[in-house]
Amino acid sequence: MFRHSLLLFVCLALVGPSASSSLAQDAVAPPDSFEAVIQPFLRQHCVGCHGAKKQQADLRLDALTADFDATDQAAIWIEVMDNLNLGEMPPAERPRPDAAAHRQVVQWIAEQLRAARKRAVASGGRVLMRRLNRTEFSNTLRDLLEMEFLPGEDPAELLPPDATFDGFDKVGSALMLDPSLLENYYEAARRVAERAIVTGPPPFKTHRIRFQMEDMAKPGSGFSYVCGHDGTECGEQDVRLLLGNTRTARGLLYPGTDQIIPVNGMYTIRVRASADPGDRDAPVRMFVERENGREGRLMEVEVTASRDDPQVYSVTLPLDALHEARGVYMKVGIVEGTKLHVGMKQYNDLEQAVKEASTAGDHAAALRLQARMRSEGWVGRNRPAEVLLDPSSLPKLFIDWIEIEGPLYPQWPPRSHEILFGKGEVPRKDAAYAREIFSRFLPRAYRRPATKAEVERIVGLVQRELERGASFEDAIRLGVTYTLTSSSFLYLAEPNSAPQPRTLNDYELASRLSYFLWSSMPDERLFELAASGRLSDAAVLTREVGRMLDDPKSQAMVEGFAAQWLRTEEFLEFTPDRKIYRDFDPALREHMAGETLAFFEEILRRDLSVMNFLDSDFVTVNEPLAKYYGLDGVEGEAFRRVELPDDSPRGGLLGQAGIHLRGSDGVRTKPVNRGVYVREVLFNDPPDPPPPNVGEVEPNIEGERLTVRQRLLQHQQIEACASCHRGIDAYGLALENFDVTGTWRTHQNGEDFRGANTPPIDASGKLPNGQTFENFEQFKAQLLKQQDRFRRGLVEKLFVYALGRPATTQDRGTVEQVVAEMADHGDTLRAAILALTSNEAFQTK
Amino acid sequence: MIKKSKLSRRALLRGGGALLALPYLEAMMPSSALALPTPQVTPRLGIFYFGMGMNVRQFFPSDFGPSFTTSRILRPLEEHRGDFSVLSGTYMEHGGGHKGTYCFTTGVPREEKQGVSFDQVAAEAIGQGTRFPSLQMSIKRGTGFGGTDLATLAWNRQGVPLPAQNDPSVLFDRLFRAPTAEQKARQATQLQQRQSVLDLVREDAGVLQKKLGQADRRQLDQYFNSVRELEKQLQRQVQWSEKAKPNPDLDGIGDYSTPMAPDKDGEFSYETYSKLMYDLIALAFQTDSTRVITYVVRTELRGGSYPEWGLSKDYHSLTHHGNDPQNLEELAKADTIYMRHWAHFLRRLRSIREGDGTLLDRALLGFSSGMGIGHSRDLLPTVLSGGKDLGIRHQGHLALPKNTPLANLWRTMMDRLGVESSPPLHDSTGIIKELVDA
Repeated sequence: MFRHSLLLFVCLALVGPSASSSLAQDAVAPPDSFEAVIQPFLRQHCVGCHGAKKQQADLRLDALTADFDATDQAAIWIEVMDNLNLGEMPPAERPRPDAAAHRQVVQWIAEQLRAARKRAVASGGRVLMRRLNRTEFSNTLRDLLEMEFLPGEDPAELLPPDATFDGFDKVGSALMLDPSLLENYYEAARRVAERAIVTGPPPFKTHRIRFQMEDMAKPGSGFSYVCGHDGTECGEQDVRLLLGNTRTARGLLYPGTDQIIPVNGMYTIRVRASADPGDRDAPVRMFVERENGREGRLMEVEVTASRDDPQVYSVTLPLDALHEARGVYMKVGIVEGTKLHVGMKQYNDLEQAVKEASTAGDHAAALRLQARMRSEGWVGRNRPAEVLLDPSSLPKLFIDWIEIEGPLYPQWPPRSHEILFGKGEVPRKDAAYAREIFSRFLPRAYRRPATKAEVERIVGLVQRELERGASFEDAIRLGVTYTLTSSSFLYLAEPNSAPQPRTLNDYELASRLSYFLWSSMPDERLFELAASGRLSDAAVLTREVGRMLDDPKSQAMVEGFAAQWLRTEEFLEFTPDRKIYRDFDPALREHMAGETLAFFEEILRRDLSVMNFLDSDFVTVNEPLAKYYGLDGVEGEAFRRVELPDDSPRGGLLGQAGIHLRGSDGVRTKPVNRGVYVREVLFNDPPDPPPPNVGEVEPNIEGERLTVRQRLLQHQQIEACASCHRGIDAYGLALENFDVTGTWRTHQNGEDFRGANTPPIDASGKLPNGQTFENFEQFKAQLLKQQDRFRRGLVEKLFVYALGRPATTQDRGTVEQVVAEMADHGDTLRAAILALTSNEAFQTK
Repeated sequence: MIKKSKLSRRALLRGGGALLALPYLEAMMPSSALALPTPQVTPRLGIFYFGMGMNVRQFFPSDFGPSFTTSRILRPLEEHRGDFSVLSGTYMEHGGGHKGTYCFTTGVPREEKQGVSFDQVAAEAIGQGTRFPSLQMSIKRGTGFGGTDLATLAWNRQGVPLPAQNDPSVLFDRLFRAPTAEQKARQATQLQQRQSVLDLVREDAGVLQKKLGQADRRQLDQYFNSVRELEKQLQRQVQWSEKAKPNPDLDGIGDYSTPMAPDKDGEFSYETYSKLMYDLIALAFQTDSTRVITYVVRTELRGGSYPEWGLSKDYHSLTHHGNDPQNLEELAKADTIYMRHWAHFLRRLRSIREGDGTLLDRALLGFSSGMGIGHSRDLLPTVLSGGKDLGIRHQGHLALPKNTPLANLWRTMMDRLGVESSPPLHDSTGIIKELVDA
């Protein structure tokens, strides 16, 4: 008897049941193995108690079929697999099955279950009609109406996050629609229509208003008392700060309102300032904040201008009106000013003396001391009178004025209005003109030519609204709302009722391309090529794919495909234990996710080989991460390429800290979880799911100090677990040099390891293909020998993302073809994308 | 010790196909179905989900019966003794390992096509006369479908998850904020416009439908169904817009005027937030704005603990406790806070009189989790609260047979609501007789 809690399927459950499978890994046994292998096994070990004569636990296995698409049959198979995996069946008193046969049966069941699940999602190898996901919805509106959405106004924010399959939000069968979601789409459409069309001048004209900072000293300002306190000195021309901030009171209110920011929009803030760093080495930094603003600092800059030559510092950014917040004002302050009021020694000494005198009962002395404190300027609790200080050596910030300009409009009426109504005055406000408007608008919204009936349906709607007394603009707004709620807009439809696949028409092809590469609608050029029927021409298609990848809109591939493939969201799931990893700054996690995306972007944009994902001689880092990795010469938060020294372990995906942070639970590393990540992400080859109720790597028993590796290997001795773990653990144990925070280590740390008890890390192992490695470098070298396996995994991921369904065995030809073309053309993502988009699978429905 | 997970009838009952294929045994039918004691009482239903289990070692009392010795985590509920039952031995066939939210109310495992959740079945039966047949609440907005941290417990007849709202101010406005005259006029126009749009999009989709193959047609069916449902809702809205929204007494209740949710900007205090959410349920029940509520108090995987609690790790990291006493201690600390909020909720319901009882006596409130401890699918922390006027007889700490399907509790609650569920709920084997008045 062994303890189940010791089964070491560490946290496989976290990764979730594997959904897809690799085409590389064929079924472990040939298709006829059900009769040849599985049935004999069941007969030998199971049917005695679960057969025609006896049905213990109401279960018969002799009549079980291999029809995994039938849920009742599949459910029984899962039960069989779980019980075999747990070692609970056959029961202890019966003979044990041969380990190899046991493994074969379990793997066969897992493989069949995976295939069945994939069949269910793959919609018979045909691309399924699907709705736009929220990113696509938002991007499409942006491009259709050329609207910029300020934070908080993006229509996508009205929509809940989308469902995913295998981590991708593009899969047809997962993108369902329910009444409340349709209602959200309607509401989003209504608001977009509301904003896209305007009537008359802007409700708030662009205004520029300035506050002379020294005006705060005026009696009416309401806070002139600040002058002379807290390091604030109000001069004739400006206000000087030694610490803290100063504020504008009502001096910046937008005319006719009690708000600085009358309406959500873009605003420019300018501050004319100068500084004197005093004895400090670093330049003085200035910040601007809004009282009650939830957005944090609006601006933080180095002020290098000297007092005889003040400069204007400015920022343009979106700001929300905060109607519910009263007393909104701007604060301008000095970053890390001089602390004047806490912990001043003289003050503390005097305070202490007062206390002692009082305790001793000498109240006269206490009073005397207090009088002395007042006379020396130690007033207002612990604040010294500034006159007693010599500020000449302290950093100083001088603020002359602050100015706000806004709301800013790139043009009025906005582009969206022009797109619908045309430029200039609307010639006629009638149904006929509505017909003109929607004859132009519908084909772009539907991404194909619109039928006469479709246009007339909207014209009828507009007509009825006009008859009800609506204004022309409101009637058109409703027409736009209708358009954006209709199935022709919301769904990517490629109608085909025939049983045989058909070639896409050029409009459908344009949409497939644009939603794959841009997560948005086709642009004018794609529409033109579709209209003239040239897009499907191979040479034109190749050129267009190239153009689309070079377009900034292809950033959607980074934020969509890369983030979902590499699971960068999951980097944020665990925070390293604050007690064990005291030095770890949680803000680094965001940078780590950023690094992994920037790395993908570098490979995409510069047409580098995808083998860089396995190992590279560069990283893409920003300043905080460069410091974390011990690399010099990187400044600022922007990510950039940095060449690595020869001995750096940071090359490739598996050198990146975020991957290892993700593969840890905050205290311990999770080699099994890391191994599963390597197999799923790098090779699209998820291992079989773990049996239910499996535990974790057990913590060390009192008095024992085994490493995670030792504990894992110890339990690989259990045969039932070993068969799966052999295929997983080596991939994770090879990464043991990276600790919970992604820091490189050569000796154990964290958990119970400190002081003299820090055994060296052993990252050696043997891969399932029999190859051995001694350390992380050799491991990466071994991975690099599996280039085809990696290519195939990557292509399968691209396939799901591009077509919204997983690749099945029938798609094997497609995948192999794309793999071969990618390999022939420098292993670039561009080559893979070109090969995939020119493939029949991409061009048929 | 080995945990036996025997092949059972339960195992065969999973999946809709199997369910229909197997003979249904009359003997398994609860004797008391549809035998509500006081039909005049308006029943309410609340289903609550605490993701990631609890430190059940300090949750379950060590002894049983009405006068059980309270446990550390349950201590805040002491004042409500007699108004709740702790159930040991519940289990979810498809739970454990962060998968439990999916099957919690539907019985369908995460990997399979979902079916209707039982709260929605209840809403069809008891919620049709209220402004909102059901309300979905959660710490996380939306559905989260596909991910592990599912945000909702409600699934419609198509097996489509219904998104939850996580901002109490939004919910409050929806329930109680009276529209101004201008808003009313605008709403009337909008309702009429929406009706026009819905008519037309249906017509338009009908044209598309004719050109589609079978699989695509099924996709578009979801669209048609949504349009139909929205039209029904519209009619409901038109009817309800004639009636004034209730104006509940907010004395002693927090401030619903500012948006507050963990994913929104601005100050967030879980203490305040949690009370706002629970109080809102009490208000919604009190005003009979809805009778059916689901609330994901804690999702799987993410969140679950808050900086103000001063824990060394996030909740999920703590559940990977590895028997580390410190982790278990911190888990218990967090769980106790949740139970303190639960006690507040019960107190609020008990303070509201209705007829000759209290609101608590007329609400059936069940909470549990998708896992027990260490990601297990048994040892679920399950508690039934309230419902004394609905024929619930509380048992203090009740020991159920090992691996009793959690659905037995749901079935008991449905039985008390007078809602027949046919076929029987999920893998349930019957109602929990001990909890039901003889």
